[in-house]
Parts: sequence; structure tokens; C-alpha cells
Amino acid sequence: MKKILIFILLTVFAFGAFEAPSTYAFFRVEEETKETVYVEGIRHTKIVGSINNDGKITRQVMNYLGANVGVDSNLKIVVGDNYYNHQDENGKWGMFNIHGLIENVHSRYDHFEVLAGVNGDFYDINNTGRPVSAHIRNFEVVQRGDTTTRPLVGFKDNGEVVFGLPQFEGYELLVFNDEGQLKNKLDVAHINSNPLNDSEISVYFDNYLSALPAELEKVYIDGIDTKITESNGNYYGKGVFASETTEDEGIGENQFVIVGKNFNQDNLITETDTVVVQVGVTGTFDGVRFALGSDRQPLVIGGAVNAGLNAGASWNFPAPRTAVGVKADGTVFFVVVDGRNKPMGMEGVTLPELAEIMFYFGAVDAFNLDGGGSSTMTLKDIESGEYMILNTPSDGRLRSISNGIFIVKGEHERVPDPIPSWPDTRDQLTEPTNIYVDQNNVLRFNEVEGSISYSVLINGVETIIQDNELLLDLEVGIHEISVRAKGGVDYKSSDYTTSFLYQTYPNDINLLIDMIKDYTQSSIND
Amino acid sequence: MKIFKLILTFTLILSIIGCESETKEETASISGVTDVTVDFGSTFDPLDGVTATDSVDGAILSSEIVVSGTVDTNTSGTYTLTYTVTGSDGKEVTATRVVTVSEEPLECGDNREEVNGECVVVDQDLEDIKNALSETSILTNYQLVVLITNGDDSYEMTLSFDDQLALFEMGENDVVYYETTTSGIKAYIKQGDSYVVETVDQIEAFSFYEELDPKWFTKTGDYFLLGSQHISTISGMITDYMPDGAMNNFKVGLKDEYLEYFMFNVISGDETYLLTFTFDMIGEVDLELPTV
Repeated sequence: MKKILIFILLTVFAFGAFEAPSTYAFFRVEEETKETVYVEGIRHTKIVGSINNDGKITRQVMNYLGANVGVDSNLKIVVGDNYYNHQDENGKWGMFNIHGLIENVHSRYDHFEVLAGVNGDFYDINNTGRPVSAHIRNFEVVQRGDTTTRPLVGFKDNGEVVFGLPQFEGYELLVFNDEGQLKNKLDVAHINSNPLNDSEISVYFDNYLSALPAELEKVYIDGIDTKITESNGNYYGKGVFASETTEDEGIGENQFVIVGKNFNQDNLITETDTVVVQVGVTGTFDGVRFALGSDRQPLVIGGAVNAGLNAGASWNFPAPRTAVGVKADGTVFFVVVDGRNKPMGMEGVTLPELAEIMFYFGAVDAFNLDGGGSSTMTLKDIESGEYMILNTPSDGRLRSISNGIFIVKGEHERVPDPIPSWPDTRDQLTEPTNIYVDQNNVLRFNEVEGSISYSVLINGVETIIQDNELLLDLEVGIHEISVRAKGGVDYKSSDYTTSFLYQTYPNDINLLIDMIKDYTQSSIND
Repeated sequence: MKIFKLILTFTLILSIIGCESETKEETASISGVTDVTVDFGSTFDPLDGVTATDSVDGAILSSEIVVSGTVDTNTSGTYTLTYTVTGSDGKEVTATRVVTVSEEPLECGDNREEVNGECVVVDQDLEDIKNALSETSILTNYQLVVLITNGDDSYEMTLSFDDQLALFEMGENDVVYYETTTSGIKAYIKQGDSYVVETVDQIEAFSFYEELDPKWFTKTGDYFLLGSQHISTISGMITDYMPDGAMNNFKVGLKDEYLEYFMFNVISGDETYLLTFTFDMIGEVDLELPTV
């Protein structure tokens, strides 16, 4: 009997240990209305209602946007910005509202159509507009950021979302040929200070005011895009060959100079190449196409709400919030909770509440982005082409922000394989021959053996095609067409052929030409 | 002696009787044989109006009238015809006439009139365009430079003709040779460095200027303008290609004995196109089919 009693007590104790009354706060979302629409594979859900956070009930309006951006999806994630190519005289990077960012995404990536998006990283709102953390744009580290203690969220081409603290190493010089193939990557030993030995190279930006080291080889680069933040030693430069000399020509505005003993004697950098100087990234974010910074602590980690959340942007005060999350199936989603607008039932949430909301929506991992008046969510109205603002920004207007995350329709540009070694010992392909446009408006030319694809340049705009034909759909006018055979890893690509002029006519003119052609035929031996 | 006298008297009587019988009239006679003048080129029947009778037997059939000599009315001049019949008394009767074929008259033809025995052109402009249309439409070796203009835009193409071959060229790339063969029309279409050959459907022949009546034109300044009421003769070609199109202001210019150009407007919606076809290289075109 005693044994039985002990067994029962142990059993009760054991179950009690597992089912003891929770000490955790409970959290519920009470949906008064919940509307869901799908736009081009993106789900938008708007919930109006309240949250019950351990008995504290607040009224909320929250918007959710989510899409599966896996490798089979035609939806991708892009981190967009609208930074000036070079900071202005006051060091400003440029802040624009979300429409400005969308416009710039379209201008940078004409193969993408923005469908939806939210605001991004925290930023220097009162001055330069520079984001707080690293900003990786199309594989380029535009800045390392003020801190490496905040997690980045990165987006790979295969749809994978990576996150964590970034790891950086020294600066590097990347040289790409005109096909975007990496020719060579070299370590940059110093920024704005002299090489210490014959094997080192240094890069000097236009904020360097002293003389360049004498006698060393100098390659001047005209900057297409430069970002210089002296205060935290952040440098980024992208540009094209301007000149090469051992003389000190002085660094022009927005130029940078690559300096080293016998540098470029191997013609690494030519006039058609693009040069990037950036901080090297290793670890998780190596090879990530887009990344931006988030708040100090994750909201959801590995399928659980971050129970230790105790820091971040006014973490324990209700505010409008924006967060990005990933679900177990790879779906990437954004949530914006409105706030600072109690009369409209938009009280806003704390970070722990936001974490619960992200968990409620199915996040396995989630990160807080800039909130408050920055919180903005947009979705394209396919019919009108307008970008609707789904939430109610608490400033009463759209805030100018630093960057944003966008769901876009389209495919990433393929990253060309790097050339196998430098110096380049590959044989060059011959130029395509016999270029013409047939009667069905198909551009044709002879195949070039060894080519992996062809680059067709029409009025300076490149189209890559796999086969030796391309259906043309050109506006009325004269078009300059040239073609090169691309050699990939095994061959140097051919040069472009000399231009072939192709004219397309207005419809009436086409009809008249047909008539005159027929007249020619009918008038033989007339 | 009396006998002698008697014989002499008898002989005298006999000889008188004999003389009387030899001067007696023939029984046949011919009438209607008079000199006549006939028109050049007219039909002349020698027996027309000619009759013959016999005083014993009555009318002599015209088939029994023998006519010698001929008249060629297509050759002016004088001709002598002789008519012969034989009467019941066995005696032949003949009659002759002179037939004069008049001078050949002047045939001045269209747009000409006779002045002082010579043909002169009535309307030199009409004569010029008539000749030019006719001479040009039979050309088999020439070039046409075609220009379509629309505001500041212009489009040029060249059509070349050399007997059985024709060539359409617009820029370097739009090049087609046409060849007439017994089996139809072959088109040699330029594709890059080479040509492909296709047999094409024969286009029903159409003509811009070849069938126009010279009288439909009015000379205005240095060109000839087709009367607008006649434009429908050729404007169907335009609407075959441009259903909403219309044609007007068809003009031609002349140079030497040929057309120098023909031109017209094509109106489509709000747009007006001017098409000018200028003749060149008459007799100098030398086409050779490209190798395929």
C-alpha cells in the first residue's frame, strides 16, 4: 500500500513536473476582422483586432505580406536603396520614401518588377541617412556599418535566408571584365596609406589629401559609386579605368587610385573592366546577394520566441513595428504593426509582443527592422500599377528611409563564372559571322564553336541568348546590333562584331514597302 | 462588043453591090465606157455601169464582155481598160476608157490635223506624254529609285529591271532578286552573306502608269497631273495593301522621250506619304542572279 502510494505520488509529481502551471506569459491574437488576398503569389493578410499579452489587451492593426521565394519561384527578395552614387557635400547618402526606393530598384534591376515591400534597417535619420549595419547590394559590400554586433539578414539566389552576425576581413580589390566575369581578386593592404612592401597594394580615395607615394604604379579609377565614412573607416568604391601612371596626378572628385609596385603591369585592369574595392565578407554572408541590418536581438530563433529579448529599439514600449521572418517552408514574410494611433485601434507593440506576433504568423526565425514612423508596407495594385500603402504610417505621411526589403518578380541575373586563372591564358573565340534579320524578325548568325552563349547588343543594351537566334521586338527606328560569342570558362569571348544596322518601320511604311516589292515582281519584263 | 459592054456593066454592078455590103453596121454595141476617176484605196469594178447589146439578139451578158487591163486603186495614176464584145454578125466591137486613181489622201491620226497638205500635231503636251508613257511602258531595262517621305522621315529603295530579272534593294539587308522562269517567279532573298531561293506566288500584274490614257493628264507647270476623276483606275492597288488608304495627286514628269518620274500621295489616317518613283539607268542595268 505504501509502495502504491509512493508510486502514485511519484506519478503525480512526475506529471506535475511536466504539466506544472506555466510561468510563461500567454499571448493571443484576437482577430475581429481578417482579410486575405493573393497578388501574384504574394499573400497579404490584414488583421484588425487585439492582442492579449498575458492579460494586457491592446487594440492592433497588423498587416502581413509573405511569399515563397524558393528556387522554383519567380519571386525573389531584393534589398533596395536609393543612395546617391556619391555622398553629397554634406556626406548624405540620400533618404527617400518607399516609392523612391522602388523606383531605384527598377532602375538598377530592369529585369525585376517590385510587387511588395517594407522599410529596412535603422539609419542615421537626423543626418546622412546611412544605414546602421552593413548593406550588401548585389554581392557588393557598400558598407560594413557602424557595428558588427547586430545580426544581418541576407538573401541568397536560391531563396535561402541567412542571418547572424557578419564577419568581415580586410579590403579587397575585385576586377570584373565587361561580361561580369571575375578576373582576379587581390587583397588591399591599406586604405589611404602607403604600401609597406613591394607586394602590397593600397587604395586611396578622394578624401586622402596627401601626396601619393612616388614611383609606384598608380591606376586611377573613375568612381561610378563610392561610399566613404571616415568616422568608422568604411570605404567602398566601384568604377572604371581612368588612367595609369607612376606620377601623382592628384585624385579627382569621386576617383580612387590603386597603388602598388609594378601594379597592373599584367593588364589586369583594362578600360572595359569594372573595379570594386570593398571590405571582404566571410562566413555566413560570403556569396550572399543582398543583406541588410536588423535590430540588436532576433525576435524568433530556431522556431521559438526569443525569451531573452531585453534590448533593441525602445524594446519595451509600444510602437509601430516592422519585422521580417522566415517560415519552416522557406516563406519569407514581413509584418507591420501600426501604432501611435490609439483612436484608430492602433496601439503598437513592444518587441516581445512583436516576437509573439511573428511566431503567431509562423516564423521560425524573425528579426526586427526599423519601426516607428519608418514602418511602411506596400503592395502593388496590379490593375492600376500603383503601389498601395497597406499600413497607416504614424507620421501621417511616408517617411524618408534608408533602405527596404522588396519582393520582386523576375529572375536574378546569372553570376558569370570567374575566369579560371590570372593571367588569362584562354584562347579567344572568333566573332559570329553572317548576321541578318530574317523576314520573321528573327536575328540570326552563324554558330561559333566553343561558345556557351551569345551576347547581343542592341543600341547598347545587352541580351544573352543560348542559341544563334533572337526574335526581335523593336521599336520603330534604326537599331545598331552587334554580337559576340561568349566563351565562359574555357574560352575568351569573341570581340563584338562591327555594328549591323537594322531598321524597323511604322506599320504604314511596311505596307507600302510590301506593295513596292510586289510591284517590282509584277513589273519584270513588263 | 455588046457582050463586052454587057460584061463590063455587070462587073461594074457587081462591084457596086459588093461595095455596098461591106459598109453595113455591126450588130453589137458597148455603152457606159467612159473615162472615170476613182478614190485612192476604193473598190473599183470595171464592169460597173458597162453594158453591151446586140441589135439582133438583144442584151449581151456582162460575162461576155471581155475587159483587158487592170486598175490598182492603191496606186494612184491612170489606167486604160479595153472592153470587147462580139455581135451576132460575128463582128467584134471594142471600146476603151481611161481610169484615173486619185492621189493618196493624208492620214494624220490622233492629235494631228492636216495643214497645207501636211499633218501637224494639235497638242504638243499631249503628244509628249503619250510618247513618254508609251516608250516608258515598254522598257525592259531600267531602274526606279523609290522614295517614301512622311514629314522628316524618308525611306528609299531601288528597283532594277533587266529583262527577265528584277531586283529590290532597301539598305544593305533587304535585298530580293526576282526571276521569271517557265515554272513561275523565283525570289532570291538575301539572308546575311547568302541568298535563299523561294518560288513565290505570281503577283497579279499591276501598273502605276502603264495603262493610263494620256488624255487624262493636264500639264501643270513642269509636270503632268492625272485628273482626279481617273485616279480610281489605279488607287485600288493602294487599298489592296492599305485598306484605309487613299491616293491622290498622281503626277508624272518627263525627260527626253521617257517619264522622268511618277509620284503620288497616299493618305492613311492622319498621315500623308509621298511616293516618288524616279527613272534612272535606262538601258544600263546589268543584273546577275546571286549565287546560292
